Amino acid sequence: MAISLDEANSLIARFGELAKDLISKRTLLESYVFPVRTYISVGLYNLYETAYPSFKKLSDHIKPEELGTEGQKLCSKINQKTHFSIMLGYLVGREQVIMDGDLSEPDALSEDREKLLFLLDLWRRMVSTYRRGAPLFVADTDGVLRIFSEELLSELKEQLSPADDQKRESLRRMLALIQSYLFLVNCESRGNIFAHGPYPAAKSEERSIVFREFSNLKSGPLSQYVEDNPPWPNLAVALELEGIHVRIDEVGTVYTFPENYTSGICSFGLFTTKRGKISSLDPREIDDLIDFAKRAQVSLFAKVMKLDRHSRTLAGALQYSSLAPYFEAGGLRGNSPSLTERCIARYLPRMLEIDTHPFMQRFSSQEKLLSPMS
Amino acid sequence: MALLKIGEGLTAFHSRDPVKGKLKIIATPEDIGGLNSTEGENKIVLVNVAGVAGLMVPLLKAAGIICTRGGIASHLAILAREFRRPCIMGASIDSLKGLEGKNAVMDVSGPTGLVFLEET
Repeated sequence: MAISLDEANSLIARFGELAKDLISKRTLLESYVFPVRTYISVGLYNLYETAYPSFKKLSDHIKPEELGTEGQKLCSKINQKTHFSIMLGYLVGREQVIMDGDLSEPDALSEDREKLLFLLDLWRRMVSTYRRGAPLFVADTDGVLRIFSEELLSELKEQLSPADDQKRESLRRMLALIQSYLFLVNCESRGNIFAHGPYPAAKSEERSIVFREFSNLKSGPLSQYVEDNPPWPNLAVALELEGIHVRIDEVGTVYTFPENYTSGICSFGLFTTKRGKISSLDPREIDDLIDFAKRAQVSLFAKVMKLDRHSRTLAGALQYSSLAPYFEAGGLRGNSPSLTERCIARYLPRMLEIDTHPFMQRFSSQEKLLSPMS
Repeated sequence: MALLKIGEGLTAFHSRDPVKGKLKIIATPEDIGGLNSTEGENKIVLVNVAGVAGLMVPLLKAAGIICTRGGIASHLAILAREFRRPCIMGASIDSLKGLEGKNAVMDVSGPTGLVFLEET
């Protein structure tokens, strides 16, 4: 095994620190519509069961470093957010199992160690390539996340258009509404919302470029209830900002200082990709997406409200534990696992009964979040 | 007109000017379902959940948003910034009882957002 026990335990500790820091800035996820804490626990039990066999299978087809390179493409469905969330999710799922008392026998502990060392080694190799050798966590690079090659960045920069007040306002409205829609269709999770940068802009040190990516505009268990189709399968918005300080967090949230960045947009570009080919979009098409995002969430909300708690929990758990983007990136589309039998028979009913797993309290306690391997 | 302070929290989206409006409380999913396309217009929407699913109408229409939970990284805070809605997160308000329809003022000019009721 290429990763030592000490290195693995250091990574586990860092995941724990960063997860606590993220939660301290927002509290645990919650929603009027979805039983978020319930479905997260079910999803993370599922991830603890499915991640190892899935990545083992994937590693027969694609190297971790190649997965890292796949993530560097525009509108990639695997990125820093998915890399971080999948590994953290596995570790939290593991803690739930430990707390349940199901990980104490010597054989189970030995199997757990073997799987975790494999996954952390794969994760480290994948993210190291993805980040072009930079530290593995965005927090360790002062909120800067640069993944594009110079060539791709230059190609995209050449296609930016100047912004005027009307376009700035349209962009702001579109970015707000598309995120509002995606939070709903992705069961209140961040789903396909991701940002990276800031990248240096050519004209001035006061300027930088940030990419806002929406890697799939219609996906996940609830997308079957979205009647309309978005005008494009995905969308990337490049914003060249002047006088705005940009910071990104571990899950691809963008923070700007000052927070109202709209007036600082000096140029922008809209892009979509299909079968790996990048197309630049006409800014006049922004209104099409605004219309879609508004219509889709009004009708989707009405349909979701008719689903019972069991169905909403199931949808969220599937969404939260999906490994489909990795199978797609690895050329094995359609091989992603669903919920395991044990999840459906044991964990789902139990979580529907207790609502919140006792482990979740550890996020707000002084206790260390994640357990090292012995 | 006198102002009575009823709570404070973290400012998630600032405004130099005070934000005024009648309070509209959203406490259940049914409250969201009951909103029509203009409900919340020029009102200060007070919510007790930091999620955003289903909250498009208030985010589009409200004068301001107050949430009794969450922080600056909550989904509601993220979208309040995108919709440019003055917003206070994690507001410590003792009770929501009796606040519906009351005239309120948000002071979100600094890092701590303040919530007042107008007293006639």
